[in-house]
Amino acid sequence: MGNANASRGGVAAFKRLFGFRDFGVVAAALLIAAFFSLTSPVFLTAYNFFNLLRQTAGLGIVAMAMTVLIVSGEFDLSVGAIYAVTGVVTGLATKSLGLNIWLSAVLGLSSAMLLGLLNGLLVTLTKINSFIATLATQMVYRGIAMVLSQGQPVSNFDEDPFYSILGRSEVFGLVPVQILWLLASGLVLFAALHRTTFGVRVYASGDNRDAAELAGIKTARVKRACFLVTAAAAGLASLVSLGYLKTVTPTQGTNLELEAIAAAVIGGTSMSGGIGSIVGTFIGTFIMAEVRTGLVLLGTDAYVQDAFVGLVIALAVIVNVKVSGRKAI
Amino acid sequence: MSRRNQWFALLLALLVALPASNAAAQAKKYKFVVITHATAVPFFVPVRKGAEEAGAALGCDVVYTGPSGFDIQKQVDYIKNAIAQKVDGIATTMPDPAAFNDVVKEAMSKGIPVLALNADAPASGRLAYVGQGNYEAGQSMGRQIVKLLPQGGDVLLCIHTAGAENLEARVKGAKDVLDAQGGKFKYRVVATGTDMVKAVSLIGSAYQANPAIKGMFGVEDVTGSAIAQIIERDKLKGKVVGGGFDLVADVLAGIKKGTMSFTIDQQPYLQGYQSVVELFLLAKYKLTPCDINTGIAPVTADNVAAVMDLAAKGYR
Repeated sequence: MGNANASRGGVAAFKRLFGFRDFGVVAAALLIAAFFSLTSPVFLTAYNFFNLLRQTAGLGIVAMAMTVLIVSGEFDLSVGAIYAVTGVVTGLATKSLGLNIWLSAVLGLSSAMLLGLLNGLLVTLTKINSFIATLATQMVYRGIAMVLSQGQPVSNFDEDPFYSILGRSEVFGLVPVQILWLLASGLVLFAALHRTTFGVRVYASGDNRDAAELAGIKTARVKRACFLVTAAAAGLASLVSLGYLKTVTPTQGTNLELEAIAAAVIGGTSMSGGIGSIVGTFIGTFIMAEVRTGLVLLGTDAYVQDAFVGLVIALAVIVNVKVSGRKAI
Repeated sequence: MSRRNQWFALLLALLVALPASNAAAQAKKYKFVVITHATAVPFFVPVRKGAEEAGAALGCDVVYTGPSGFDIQKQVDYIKNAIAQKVDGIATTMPDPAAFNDVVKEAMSKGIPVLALNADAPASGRLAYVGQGNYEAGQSMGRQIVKLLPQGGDVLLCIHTAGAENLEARVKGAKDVLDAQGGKFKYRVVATGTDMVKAVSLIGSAYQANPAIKGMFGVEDVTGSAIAQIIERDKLKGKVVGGGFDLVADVLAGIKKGTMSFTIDQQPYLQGYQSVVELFLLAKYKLTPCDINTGIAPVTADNVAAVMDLAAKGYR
């Protein structure tokens, strides 16, 4: 008893010392990194670090925005489909309509936000559980991507600085540009959720909707804004992927929604709303990429990797809950 | 009143017209359904084109359909749907050795002939297989690897979905050829999932883990494209040889630039075209369908320009 109390006190002191609200998930990420650094000589190299972050970029942008939405008390299972629609609309606008790629990207991003607005309206006006509502729109949106593209990928784009700026260039010849997009999105979302009255309203809406309403917060409006933010993030992530790969497919982003939710939960976001942080989700996304890449570096058999990733996700959540002293996720 | 009468007349006209047009269509045209297990992947574009052009040439209706992403249960439903429509023949991919047994039996028992296309399941009782032998294609890849790396060495064999029957057969084919070189080759299988960003990252990591690697080879479009991206991005041309499967834009562009060495083409246009021809000849003249090997055609720097031209038109 005494020991447990002492160690809990120690952790609390550590948390105060470093000012981390996300101590648990950072600890999990560092533990995993330490393990892989000891077992693989190339894990702790700049190449691998940037490789990891590059892989994290698209998912991270979506997962951090999804965190804002989950904190507000809703989910969006349609982000993967919105990710596909954005890519397909952008690709077709420039390939088939001959529009400038920048204009096409604006068009793509606008369609993403339109779909996000529809999600928000559907959930707030009908009061359908967002899990079901966005499961339905996921299928509709995926269908739109399929119909528009006739199931075919769009590729062979003309050269344009667009691709370098969104996903191909390396800043200072070292840092992949999509990492800057990831960090920029992170900063904007962090500021919005943790430093503005909008953020306060988001937490209030997810924590206790009735109380928030009584306090004069229009929770429906807050949630609609969160759906819009999430969709815009999915759109941006899609453009970053388009810049990097110079190709779009109507099936891209399949399961993106689940990975985004998983990353948010690893990062300490509560599935029931009201609790969560952008930094936590950022690290959560990093952990998922860290594990996958680490297993490849170790030379793990291809057939056991998925099982390991699942195990580590479970472990990371447990460590996070224990260390941060939360009751449940 | 008059409006109600109008509606009634319209309804009556429809009722009379529907069966009549149906009967007329049946009298002059055969209808065949071509189903693939993932209609949204670029690979199947020429299959569809081949099937539709064969239909146009022979004067029969060809419907191309299937689930957009790999889903055997949904694919079986598409086949059942075709059976319910009482079509004159079905050509479908069978990417599982046993999952199609029942539905093929059901179709055949109702007098609807079924062919396997692109991916075969002999136990299903299908009449014939039109496509590439995946194991043989994998061997072909293995022989290309041996030709490119006569000294042997460490290589990566990459696959997007571990456990997918047809892809595993290719990996096995390549492994068997490499194993037969007397231990000169050491290989590692890397599974990436179908997301290309992740594939690029993971294969890049596998290379980082072992810089002695002399070659990276993907047994389908996703990992092939990913390998082309890595060799170009990390400037590995000359250090690492790359190869892929099927005619994918990124891989072909890589062969042209010299970052990729080869890709194995299975001529999918032929798979679509020949399936419809066989179904048509069976329906019309009772000619028994037979297996057709659509070939193992390596594409290298020598023929890439001509092949790319045809690919742009949807024939390769």
